[in-house]
Amino acid sequence: MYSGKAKDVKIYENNKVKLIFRDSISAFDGEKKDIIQGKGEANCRMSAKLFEILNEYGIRTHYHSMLDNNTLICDKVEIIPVEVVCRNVTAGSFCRRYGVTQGLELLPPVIEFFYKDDELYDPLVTQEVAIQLEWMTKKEVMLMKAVTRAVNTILVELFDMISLQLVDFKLEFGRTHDGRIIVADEISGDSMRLWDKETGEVKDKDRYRKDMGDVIQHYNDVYDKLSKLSKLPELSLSTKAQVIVKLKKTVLDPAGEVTLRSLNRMNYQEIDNVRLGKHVFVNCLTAPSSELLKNLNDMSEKLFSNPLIEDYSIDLWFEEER
Amino acid sequence: MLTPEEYGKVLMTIGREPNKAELAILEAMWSEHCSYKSSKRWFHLFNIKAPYLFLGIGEGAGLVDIGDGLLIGLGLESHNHPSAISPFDGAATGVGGIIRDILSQGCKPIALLDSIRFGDLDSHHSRNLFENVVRGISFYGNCCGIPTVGGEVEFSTAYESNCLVNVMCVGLIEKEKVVRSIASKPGSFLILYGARTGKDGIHGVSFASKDLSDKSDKDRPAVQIGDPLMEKVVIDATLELVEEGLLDGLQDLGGGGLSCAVSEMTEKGNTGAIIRVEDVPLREKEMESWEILVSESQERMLAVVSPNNVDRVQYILDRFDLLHAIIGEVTDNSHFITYYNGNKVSDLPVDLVVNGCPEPERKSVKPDYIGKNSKINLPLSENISSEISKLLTSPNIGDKSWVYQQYDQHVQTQTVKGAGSDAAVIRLDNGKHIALSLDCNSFMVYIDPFNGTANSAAEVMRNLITMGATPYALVDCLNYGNPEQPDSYWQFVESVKGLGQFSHDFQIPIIGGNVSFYNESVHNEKRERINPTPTIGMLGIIENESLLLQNSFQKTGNHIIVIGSTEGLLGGSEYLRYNHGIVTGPIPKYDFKKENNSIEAIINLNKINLIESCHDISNGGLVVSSIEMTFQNKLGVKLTTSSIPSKTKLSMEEYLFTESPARYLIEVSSENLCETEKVLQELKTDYGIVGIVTEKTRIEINDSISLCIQELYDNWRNAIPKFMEE
Amino acid sequence: MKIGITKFPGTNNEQDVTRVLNCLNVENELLYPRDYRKLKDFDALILAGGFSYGDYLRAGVVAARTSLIDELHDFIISEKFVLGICNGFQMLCEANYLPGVLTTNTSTRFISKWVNIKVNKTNSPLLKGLESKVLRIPIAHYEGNYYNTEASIKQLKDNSQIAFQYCNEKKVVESMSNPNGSIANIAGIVNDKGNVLGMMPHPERSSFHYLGSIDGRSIFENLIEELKC
Repeated sequence: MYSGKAKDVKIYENNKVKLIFRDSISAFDGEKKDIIQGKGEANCRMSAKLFEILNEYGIRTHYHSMLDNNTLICDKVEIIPVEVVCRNVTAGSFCRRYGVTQGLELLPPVIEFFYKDDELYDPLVTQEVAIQLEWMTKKEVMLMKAVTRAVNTILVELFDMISLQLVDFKLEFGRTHDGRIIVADEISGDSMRLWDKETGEVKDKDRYRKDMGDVIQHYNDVYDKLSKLSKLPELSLSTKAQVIVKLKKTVLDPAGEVTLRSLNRMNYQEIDNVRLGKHVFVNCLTAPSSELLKNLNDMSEKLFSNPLIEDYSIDLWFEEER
Repeated sequence: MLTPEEYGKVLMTIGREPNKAELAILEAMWSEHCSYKSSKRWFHLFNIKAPYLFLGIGEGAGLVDIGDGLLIGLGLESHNHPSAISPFDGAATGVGGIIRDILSQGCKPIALLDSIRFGDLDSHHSRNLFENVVRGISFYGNCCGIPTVGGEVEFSTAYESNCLVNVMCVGLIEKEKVVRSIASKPGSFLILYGARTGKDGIHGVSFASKDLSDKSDKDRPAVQIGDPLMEKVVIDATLELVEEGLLDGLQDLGGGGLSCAVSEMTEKGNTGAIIRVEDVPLREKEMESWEILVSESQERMLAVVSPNNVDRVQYILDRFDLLHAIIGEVTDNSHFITYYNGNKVSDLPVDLVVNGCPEPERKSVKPDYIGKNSKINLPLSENISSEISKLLTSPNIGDKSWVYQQYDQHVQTQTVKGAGSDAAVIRLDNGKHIALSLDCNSFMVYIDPFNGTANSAAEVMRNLITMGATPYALVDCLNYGNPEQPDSYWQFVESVKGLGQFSHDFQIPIIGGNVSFYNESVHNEKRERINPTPTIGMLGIIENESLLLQNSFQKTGNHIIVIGSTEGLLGGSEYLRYNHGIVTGPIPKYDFKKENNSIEAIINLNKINLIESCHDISNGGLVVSSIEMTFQNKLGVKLTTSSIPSKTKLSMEEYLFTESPARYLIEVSSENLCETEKVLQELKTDYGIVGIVTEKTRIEINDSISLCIQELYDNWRNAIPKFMEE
Repeated sequence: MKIGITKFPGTNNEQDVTRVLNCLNVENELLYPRDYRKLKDFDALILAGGFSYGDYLRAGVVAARTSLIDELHDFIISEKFVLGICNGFQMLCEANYLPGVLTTNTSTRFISKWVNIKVNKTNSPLLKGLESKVLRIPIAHYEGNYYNTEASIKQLKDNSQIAFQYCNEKKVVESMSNPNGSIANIAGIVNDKGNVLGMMPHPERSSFHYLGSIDGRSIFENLIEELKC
């Protein structure tokens, strides 16, 4: 059905696909390529492990189960052609692009978007461009950012337990047949940077990029340590949302009129229209997800606003708690 | 902050340094607001006795017996400082506070009245305060389901920097159901119910006990936010607890918060209490014990409940979804002790907390302006017609419906006469009516605090008389400047003397009240102080429906009689102030005999149904009173000044505009005129038949003045909206 | 025959309605939101005014999302009578039992005053005998400004569902008499079957001579008369 640089996707059953991890490895937009024995299996089980952990925290992913050493059963999704990168510490292309040194802490973590296209060398894109070119919608951007930050919070704490620093990572998202946005593709040593907290040793794909050797040994070392964890970090994730309720344009807003007259009396003559609305702040005790957004929509329609006279918009985000 | 003297008293009494929590409790309880330390030495001047008195000054509500096993509760309190900083929330919580005071005695709140004062309306600042204070009262009172039936609004530059918000609440209860704010039985539980405790209003009482200066804006956190829904549920639940007789004691948490409620109730019961601070339901996680003890979060009540009743009380509170917690017990050791998780936080003798504050020596010196009242050289104007026209545009005289239409006046369906009448009239289920008025003439009080206060109290009384009521009891709210300033303190002392004199003369008991000092501030190095403002709320009883009087002319051809002789002194009148910018000049002296004679006249005439309508002569004088009487039924009036009773012949301005006391306008039909005169002559009342009600809607005075009522009405009607509805 | 009167937290007119019903000698009982299962025991329901749940979010909407108001669906389908007064009218609209919505008064202030309303011809038995009369009656609300789309207003007119309109003493429906900005001066409407009536003015506050008007009493009398049939 589809064959990528390191994985094949094949139709399975019931809107499911098989994600088959190969032993091939590449870097620099495909310029450097190799086969490393056992790499497919290493990434496959690492992805399965991390997806399972994320699921524990309520992050919706495409992962369903592991079929064999190299194969995951996943939901069939339409991959969004934009990768989301989340950076806790400066490294890699970020340093090259902006001329900053490696190892600077970024607080709050920085999120970047890259358009997936090897021929164009996966360029950095802005939200506006991605929305304009219809690679993703505004709502999807909002959700992907929130989910990425939530995943970051989980993974930072998780790797901290095995004394590793999560420097940065990449997520891909997919659209399900019913329009939900979920985390897709893989999460493995190939898609993140991990440094040993004490020694600074590199435990990720940079070992391959920079010819440091022992790629698989380090991937498996991370996996083994994760497997030995008796419990997961104690985190209570919460998603913030605000709903803005506005009177529809055609409905008279007496409060707005009064406010406008008051402004004019105060000599702010440049103002000719004021509309007052309501702001509802909501703290949700779950990770961000399409389901949560849908629930917020329902709340807005049933309670926060009266659709006869009011429109509403929802803003949803995730704040790392420090 | 305690003064060195106060701190010394604490050291001497407890024999050690007080800790942080103890200091916080004492600072709150020994603040001017809670301790009345500058004022209470004068309260012996008040008449506090009446055969029908049930509960006098000292608890949330004063209670009087009105027969048929019913008591009326009255409370009046200021919320001036919070309203100046945050007008909406300050006024709203002011309403909430006085409702809970009434509730503390188990009364069902049946009416609210508000007395509010601001700077002149041409100031943006004053308009903003006015708009939002009214909104705050409307928001809170309406939601609680208590009709706001009356009150007063006054504007003067004296209130530009210090607005006044005084709220009166009236309650009703059956005699045997009364609850006292007292904790008398050791072993009883203390149950806190209502809202959670937060950091709002911490040190609110200390805030109300200092003057408002430019930096006050930073004090915002000291203002509480009100939740009228919570208040309404607290009212509903409390009335059910009272109905079932489950409470041994009850007090709301107002100024000084939990510390005040616990120490005052145990002091009255000669008991002590222990409080477990960790059991107080909190709104914010991070609160220190001392903050919990003095927090002034709104909508909280503290009940004293005997162990047998605890389950039932909790069951009822649960049914109302009200948060509640047993936070301590009443003890017999006369100490107010608090613990946090078993560790002692504070331990103070109850008597020290409640009665221990040393009364500071306050100097009283007559202010420079007193007595320098220059004589007014009349006439100030030759064009009386235009003066009348102008006077009706004064916001102090004009229609107040812009204000009271924002208040629900009709909920509880017992409001027979609402705002806009001389006094509000509320029907009770036993067929009796009560009349209520809340008023003050601050300009007269400013010029002459003694006579001004007594006259002002008499004016409130006149408002009840014109409804057909008999005055029964009063509550006061005494608003003054900084008591540490000798001239401000003098105003206070003179005023209290005047009120005391009045209450003894008329045998009207003072059953409750509140003192608000520090209503002065320094702006740009200029001292700004309010007029001394002793707001007086009075209750009257109308024994039966037939005594209820109208305040508007009823019929063409009826005669108009002035009761009480007119003095020519224009001092303190709205005519001098508004039309000519003068707030000086001698004011008429308080005269009990004269005042009482006029009252006797009205009461006697009314008993035999001779009065068609009646209105007191106050703000704006005779001319404004008679014009006001034409509005409702769209009638006119013809007056002859030479018939106005007076000792000497007066000038036109004096006849028409003086606000000299003890005077009424009554309307009498032709057939009753003879008998009316007979009654008045028997009573030796000064009176004069000054005119008739006419069909053409004009006011005609002598042969020189003729004005269209509709134009005057428009002036009157728009006096406030013209500033607020632009 | 038993009439229920709803009492939500913040409802404050329930005693006033009770007073009128007691005076008319009809059995009545307060119905709390937790008692929604009892709804079937009643022959008619009056949604009393006040500030249910503080009206903090939007007037009446929180009450409209309770089980009690949900259960009203079947009650209404079975053609039992429902009268929503003030906050009760707001609830009926928010719950979609009546069309439209009540939004903030154009003055942006609470309004408490006496008004005149004209009674229109509808199919509701609650208004029998009142058609084309003028009632003097108090209003007291912050959100009484009736709004609906032009199409819906036309439909209400065509179906004779506009029960009350603010008017002057001479029965003229004109803008000067409109206290709150309501479209078409609408003060109250009925549903298509005529068994649900919502109104902003307070008939219970104009049911006694000592209050200055008994014009509102006939609505309660009609209700009782209908229940007797």
